[in-house]
Amino acid sequence: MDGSPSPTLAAGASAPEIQTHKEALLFIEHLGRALKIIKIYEPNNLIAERQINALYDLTRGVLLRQKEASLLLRQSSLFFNGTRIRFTINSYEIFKFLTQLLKKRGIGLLTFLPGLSREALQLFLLLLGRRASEDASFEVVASELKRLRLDNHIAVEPVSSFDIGGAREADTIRLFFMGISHLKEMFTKFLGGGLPPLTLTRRLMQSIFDHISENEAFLLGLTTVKNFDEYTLNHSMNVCILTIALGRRLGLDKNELAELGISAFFHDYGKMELPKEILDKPGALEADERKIIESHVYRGAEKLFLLKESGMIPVPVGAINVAMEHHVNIDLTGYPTYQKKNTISFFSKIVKVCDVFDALTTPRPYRPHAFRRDQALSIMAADTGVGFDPVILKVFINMMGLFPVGSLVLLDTGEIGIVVENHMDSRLFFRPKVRLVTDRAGAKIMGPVADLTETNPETKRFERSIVKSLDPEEYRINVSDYFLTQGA
Amino acid sequence: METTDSRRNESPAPSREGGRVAEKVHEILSLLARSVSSIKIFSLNHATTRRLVDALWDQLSRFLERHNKLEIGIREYSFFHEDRLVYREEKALKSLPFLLYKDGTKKILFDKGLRREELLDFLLLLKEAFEARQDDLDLVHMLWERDYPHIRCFAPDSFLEAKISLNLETQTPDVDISNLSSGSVELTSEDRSSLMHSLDDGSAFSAEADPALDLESSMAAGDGGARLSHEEDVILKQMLQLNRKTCSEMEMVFLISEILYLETRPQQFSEALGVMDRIHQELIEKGRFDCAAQLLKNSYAAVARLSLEHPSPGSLISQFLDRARSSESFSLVKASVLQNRPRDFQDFFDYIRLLGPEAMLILGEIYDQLKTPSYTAALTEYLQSRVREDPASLLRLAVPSRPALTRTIINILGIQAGEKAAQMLGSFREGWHKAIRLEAVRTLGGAAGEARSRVLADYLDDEDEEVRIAAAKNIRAFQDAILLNKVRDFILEKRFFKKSEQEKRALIDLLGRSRTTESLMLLEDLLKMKSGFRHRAKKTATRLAAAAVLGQVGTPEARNILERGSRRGNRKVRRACKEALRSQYRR
Ligand SMILES: [Fe+2]
Ligand SMILES: [Fe+2]
Repeated sequence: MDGSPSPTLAAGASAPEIQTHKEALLFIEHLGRALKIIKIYEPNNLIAERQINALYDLTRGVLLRQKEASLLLRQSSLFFNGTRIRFTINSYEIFKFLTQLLKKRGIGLLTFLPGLSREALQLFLLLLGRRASEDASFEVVASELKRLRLDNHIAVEPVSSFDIGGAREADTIRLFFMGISHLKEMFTKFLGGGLPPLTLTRRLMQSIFDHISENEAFLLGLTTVKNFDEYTLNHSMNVCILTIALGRRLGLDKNELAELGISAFFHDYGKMELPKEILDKPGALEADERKIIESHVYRGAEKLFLLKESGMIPVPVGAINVAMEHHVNIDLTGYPTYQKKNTISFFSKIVKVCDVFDALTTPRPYRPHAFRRDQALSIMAADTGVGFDPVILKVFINMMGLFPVGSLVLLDTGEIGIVVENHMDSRLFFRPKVRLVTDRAGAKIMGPVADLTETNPETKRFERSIVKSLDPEEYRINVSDYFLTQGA
Repeated sequence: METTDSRRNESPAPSREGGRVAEKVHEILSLLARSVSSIKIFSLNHATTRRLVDALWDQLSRFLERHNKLEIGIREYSFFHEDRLVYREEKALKSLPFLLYKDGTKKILFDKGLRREELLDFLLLLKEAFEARQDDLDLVHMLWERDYPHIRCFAPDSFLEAKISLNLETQTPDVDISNLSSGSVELTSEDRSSLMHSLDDGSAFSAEADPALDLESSMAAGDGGARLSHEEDVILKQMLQLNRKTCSEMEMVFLISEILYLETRPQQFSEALGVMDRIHQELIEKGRFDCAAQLLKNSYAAVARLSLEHPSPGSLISQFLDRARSSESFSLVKASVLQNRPRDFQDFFDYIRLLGPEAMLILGEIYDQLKTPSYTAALTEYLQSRVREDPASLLRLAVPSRPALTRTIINILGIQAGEKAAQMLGSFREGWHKAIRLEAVRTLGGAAGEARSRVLADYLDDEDEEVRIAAAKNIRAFQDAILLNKVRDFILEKRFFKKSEQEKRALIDLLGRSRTTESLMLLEDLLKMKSGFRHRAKKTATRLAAAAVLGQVGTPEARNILERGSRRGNRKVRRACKEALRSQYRR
């Protein structure tokens, strides 16, 4: 590990750091692919052989220079020879696959040592990646390594108790409502004093991030909670979650994500002082009422400025930007109309996507019928390049899938389900994991989670497929309840 | 806060091995605490610190080598290792356990594989946390951001729960679980028919099962359609990079300017203006003159626009600009430059220019205190760039106490063509040291021009002879009637003869150089002058000089005058005229 750079790869990384990091990404990509392929093909299959060779060559190269090639799992992070791997959007899938596989096997540290032969590597891949050994615990893997006499060149260490997440849905739910409470306090106290420090808000963002790393799908599911307490509070929390999840996939650093989260959290800060009659007015708005609604952007920015300049809360400038311009389109239409400024910040573009998604999927007095989650995505997709940054929107849509978590779906079995998780591969977006909430006859049940990629071994047909997505309001099914009960 | 520390200490009867380990851990933690103190007092590179850190590193890495990890439990003022008290410090201000405890850390873990740089960074972080004010820095959050591979802390969400004051019980919705598994759902006819339809043709998204293997193999091939294209990936990376490079001060400048455009409520407007004042001040203090200049630019634009639309906001922003031009603000600017010593003064000069001519004074005052070659060079360059647009502003910097800068300014003005610059050079006649006056005169003589000659003529009155002579010698254009009259007056005045020979000669030479009919006539007048009784010798000398000069002029007109002169008057003069004529024939 000598010669390795500092533990974190800072924004201004040096050339050798970047080199190490490139190698790290390449390594997990090769390892991940080899493990996936070995699951399906025999090792002597041409594709498999090629993949294993590629991994072997790469590893041998690393071993020549660095004495070892180690992959360290730490909560939500992977380290390659001590350097944290900052995944890029295109390596995210493999990153998640490897993390999950290591966790499942209870492996916290995997080390290849000099002298590793290609044969040994292949045996190891079979041991780790094969379906038959899917339930193999750490002990099984470790003893197999010993039995196969691979342990001279391949070492594994168990995941530390620090990194075992455990069932945390209840904690996540508490965190969600803590967030709303915290925001309420920030909204109601303002300059009157007694405001909680920003370090606390940052800690909240940290926890949200940690929970997302642990179980992104569940957090996405919680954003089906709407209009709890006050619309703006619940909405801001939802936008905050969606934004951190999206920012994480876009490849932002932790400190950037904390700031991004804060920006999303306070994006509608200017609404706190607007009259409820106008905010919640059922009918169309008069011109002067519209003007008042639109004023929330600069009122919010102004308030955040006052907090910052009074020295009370060191609000990041990014948050002021977002408060000001989360209704500005990327072609600078929308509101407010800028006089001098001619750019929209990266954070604003990210938050805007999540803001619109949550707004569209929330029933409001002026639009009692919210859009379905999949509908909201199509509406947004139609506005790409004008309202939204196309790349950011694409990543968001890929994060949400075709049937975003929280969608109510009708299955070809006649059952109704709620999407609880999407697969990483976009070709499986038609086949998410679904919690069954009615049986075939329509009786309500707290059913199991069904993975729609499951096939019937005899007919080789899928057990269940989605017919269409349903409108939860029409069926008076409160989707969020199914997520909230997970904590019970 | 819990105070169970001491009780825990009493508990299990220590085994001998356990006792030895606890001792070792105690030693490590003491070294850790002492290292941090030493960094605080001295620095990381101080010899004392180094010794301590080396010892810490030595002990800790050996411990990790042997035990694979070191997990420390944290209570208010104490560290625990496997339920044994291993370290205690009750003075909150210097207590390492308390530092970690107050931000909600329950455990801290060092893993085998720890690297020295990691440990050093961690020590510096602890030092920073000690020095920060309570609410400014959250150690747990900092550790989270750093993401050390081998140092981790465990801080559960319960910390947040305790800090967020609202009652969570009333802040969580009730879900009636029984409701989720009772009753039934009737499909609408539309949805029912979709279902039937899908069963008939095996359609929608559905049942025509791709063979599972194909699906998986395509999955194994890796590239989900969700990937970004190469171009998209590049665009995303650029956005990330750009965001990291964005200057937050500049963002603030633009944001506050936009807010002032939008805000129409008087109270809020003046609050926002107050924010702008503070931002402006902070920018100056930080030496961020690029941003401060942009703030002024935006404000000028706002005044120009708003004064028509809403009279009041426009005038308020004008007042902001007035404040920026106040002497208080000027001293702030001066102090900032002297303190920050910018490497590049371009932004600073830009800012000064936007403040208007009064602000030039700041440049001079800084010049007096910051006599670095880099500032002088930058200032010279700036003045050169300003002279065409506003030559008068340069004069504000020229004062007798700054001879070198004044010389520089004179030279800059001298290169500049036109009447204005010439007039500026005339302003060094009174109250200035002779050397400066001479510099101005020589500079004026550096190029021809009526205006310059007129200004030089003013220097013919100078109290110092050397300056007067230089002025006479440097006049290069003579068409001007005023100039000629002035010279005539000089010559015809009685005190002309009291002037030294050199000065007289310089003035006569001047007439000769001009070659106009008028000046030749004047020379003839001198030639014909009666020597009289008083100043006889001096007058004769003047006449002889006139003859010599006429000889140098050499025009037919001048020759005619000499011809006439050679036939009349004083013998010396006649001879001189003949001599002058001869010198021409010889050519
Ligand atoms: Fe908004
Ligand atoms: Fe919003």
